[in-house]
Amino acid sequence: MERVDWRKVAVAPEEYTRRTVRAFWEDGLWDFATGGALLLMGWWLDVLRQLMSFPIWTWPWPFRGPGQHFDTSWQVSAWSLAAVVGTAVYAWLAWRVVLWLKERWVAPHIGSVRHPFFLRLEPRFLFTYLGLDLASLALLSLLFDWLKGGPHFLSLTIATAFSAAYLALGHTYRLPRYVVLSVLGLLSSVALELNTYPASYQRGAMSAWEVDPFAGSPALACLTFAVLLVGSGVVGLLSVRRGEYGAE
Amino acid sequence: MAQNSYPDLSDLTEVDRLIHEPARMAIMAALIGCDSADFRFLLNVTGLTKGNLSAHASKLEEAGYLQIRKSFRGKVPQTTYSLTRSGRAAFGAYRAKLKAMLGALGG
Repeated sequence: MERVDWRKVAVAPEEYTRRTVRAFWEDGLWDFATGGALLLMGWWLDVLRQLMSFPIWTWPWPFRGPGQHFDTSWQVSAWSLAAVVGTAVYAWLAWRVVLWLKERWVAPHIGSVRHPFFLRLEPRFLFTYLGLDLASLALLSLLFDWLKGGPHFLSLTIATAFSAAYLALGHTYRLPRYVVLSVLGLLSSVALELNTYPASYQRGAMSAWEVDPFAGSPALACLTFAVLLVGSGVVGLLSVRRGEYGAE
Repeated sequence: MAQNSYPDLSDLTEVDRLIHEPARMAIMAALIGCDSADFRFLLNVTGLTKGNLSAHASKLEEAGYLQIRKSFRGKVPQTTYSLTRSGRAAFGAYRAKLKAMLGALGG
C-alpha cells in the first residue's frame, strides 16, 4: 500500500499561494523599478557624503547657490526631508508604471494578476532575511574593521540588506535568478569596498567612485545592485515573454 | 498501544467540504495571495483545464467565497476572480484546521 506523505499534502495550499506571490517578481519589472530607486538612493547618499565631509571644498548640487551657503545641519535636514518625499513620489509612480507595463507586456503571456500594495510575505522569508542580514553584516563589519581600520558600516548595511533580501526571496519563492543576483551583488560590493587605494585616511573620498578607508562608499554599493537588478529584470522579462513562466 | 496515543481526528468531519476538494482548494489558495487574477493566470497557476476551472469557480461563487467579474480588454473578453471577505475567512479557518490535524498526525 502506498504511504501518503502528509508533509507534502500539508504544503500544497501554500505552494499555490507561493506561485501567485512569485508572479509579483517573476516578470522582472519590479527589478527595473528597484534598480532605478537604488540609482537615486546612491545619488542621494553621495550628496549626503559631500555635505558631511570635512572640509567642504565645494557644495554639492542642489545646495550650490550664488555665493550663499547654508549651515550643514539645515542642509542635512532638508536633504532628509527630500528623501521622504522622493521615496513616496517614486513608490507612487513606480506602482502605476509597473502595473501598466504588466498589463501590456506580461498579461498577454501569463495572464493578469493584481497584488496588494503591501504584499503578504511568508514568515519564513522574514526569518531567513533577518538571519542572513544580521549574520553577514556582523561578519563583514568585523572583517573590514580588521583589514581596513574602519567598519564600512553604511555601505555594508546596504550590500548585506539587499543581498539577504534577494537570497531570501529567491529561496522562499524559488526564483533562481535572485540567488545569483544576491551572491554576485555581495561579492562585487565587497570587492569594490576593499579597493580603498585612490582615497586616503587624510583627505577621505573625493567622489562616489573612491572608497573611503574608514566609511566606505555607500553609493557604490547602490550602483552595484542597481546594475545587477537591471540585468535580472531583462532575464525575468525575456523568460516570461518566451513562455517560461513558472520554470524552476 | 495505549488508547491515548492515537491522534484526535474528531475535527476531520468539521472541515469545509466545499474547499476540501483539490481543484477548489487550489483556486482559493492561489487567490489568497493576490487581490484578483484573471482566468488565464489561474489556469497557469493551478494547472486545471478550462472546463474544470470554470465549473469549480462557479461553485465557489455560489457559496459566496468568490466574486467573478466579466469585462472586455479591447475586444477580448476577460474574466477576473477575487476572493470575498467570507471566502478569505473560510480559507483561513480551513487552513488552520488542516494544519492542526496534520500536526496531530505528526506530519
